[in-house]
Amino acid sequence: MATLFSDFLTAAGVRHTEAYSDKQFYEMPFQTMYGLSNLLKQYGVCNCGVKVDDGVKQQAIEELPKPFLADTPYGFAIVMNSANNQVTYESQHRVFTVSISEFAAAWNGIALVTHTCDTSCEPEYSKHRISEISKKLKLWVIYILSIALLGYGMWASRLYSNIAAWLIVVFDIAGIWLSWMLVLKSLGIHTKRADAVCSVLEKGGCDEIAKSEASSFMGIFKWGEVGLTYFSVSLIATLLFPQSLSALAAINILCLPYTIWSISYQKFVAKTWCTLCVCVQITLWLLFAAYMLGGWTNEIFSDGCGIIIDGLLLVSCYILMLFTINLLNDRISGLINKRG
Amino acid sequence: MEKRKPTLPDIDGISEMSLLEMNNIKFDKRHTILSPELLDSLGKKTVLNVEKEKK
Repeated sequence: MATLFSDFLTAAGVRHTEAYSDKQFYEMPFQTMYGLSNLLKQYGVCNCGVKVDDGVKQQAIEELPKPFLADTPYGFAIVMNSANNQVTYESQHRVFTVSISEFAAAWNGIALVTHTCDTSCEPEYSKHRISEISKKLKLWVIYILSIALLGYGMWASRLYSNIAAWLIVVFDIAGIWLSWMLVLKSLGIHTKRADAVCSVLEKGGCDEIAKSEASSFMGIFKWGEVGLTYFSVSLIATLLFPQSLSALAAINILCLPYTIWSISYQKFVAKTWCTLCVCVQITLWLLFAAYMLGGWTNEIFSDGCGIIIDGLLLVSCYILMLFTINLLNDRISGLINKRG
Repeated sequence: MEKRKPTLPDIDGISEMSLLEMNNIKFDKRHTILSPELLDSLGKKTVLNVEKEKK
């Protein structure tokens, strides 16, 4: 996740890699403007801290070399450009444009002004860049192999000719993605995609719900973790054990009352809409429709003992997956809190 | 690494900070998004504080 430092390097056009720069930022011995100044010097970016009197703030915003870091009571903003009485700045990876007078009123007059040259660059940039590229390649390999394994799973289970089975796979993947976004929200990790989806129904709604008491089951498991568990186990079971589809349909039906509770809670109690949560509820109902289309809901009561055994096996898988995800989340949350 | 300092505009009222002063500007660990609405309320608070000091 990009930091103020890597965002500033991007704005200044200094070659860097996000992973290394962010690590250096978190590990700065002095978590102050002085520490940042030293770090910038390691990147060949000359800089100095300045104090600007109230009377000349607007003039200073127009004439100081950009980008520069402006200090406010709520943190630093990267001032990128000023023209026609407007100033463009970046805060927490979002770019805003306001009038110079408005910015000057909020700014406390303290700034870190920089100068870059052709040699300004991250130390050992080539080595870090190769590492960054290989990381991206690994992700692509994971995507390609996942699709290949998915295709093989559908072929091996003879479900490839069944439209309902394809719908179940698509909805499960959608459910995994939505639940993953919810898990990231609960960890306080913001991503552009999640923020874009979240702002559809109500801006900030997902964050508010994620902070509320209702965002976790018995205060132990986040609903995002439960969703991630449900959809991923369902996907794997569909592909590898198609005989368990009627049990999956039964479990899906048991989950449907939760959707009514979730929507009611958002409408009447929290009075805030969480777009991601609403999308998960819709996905559950779409899965129900797909199970009905495939005829697996009809087989629930005709399967006899088989469905009970499949159901118990599935529940064991759900519990195993949920506990694993929950433990991993706790570890990640701990690491994030340590970094502060 | 070039040792040039950034060129500051020739404006009365801009002064360089000492290293000690720079070290007193700490990073807030919980950064807030400085939206235009927040900037507006910050600006109004600053005006109120200045008026209080004048009184």
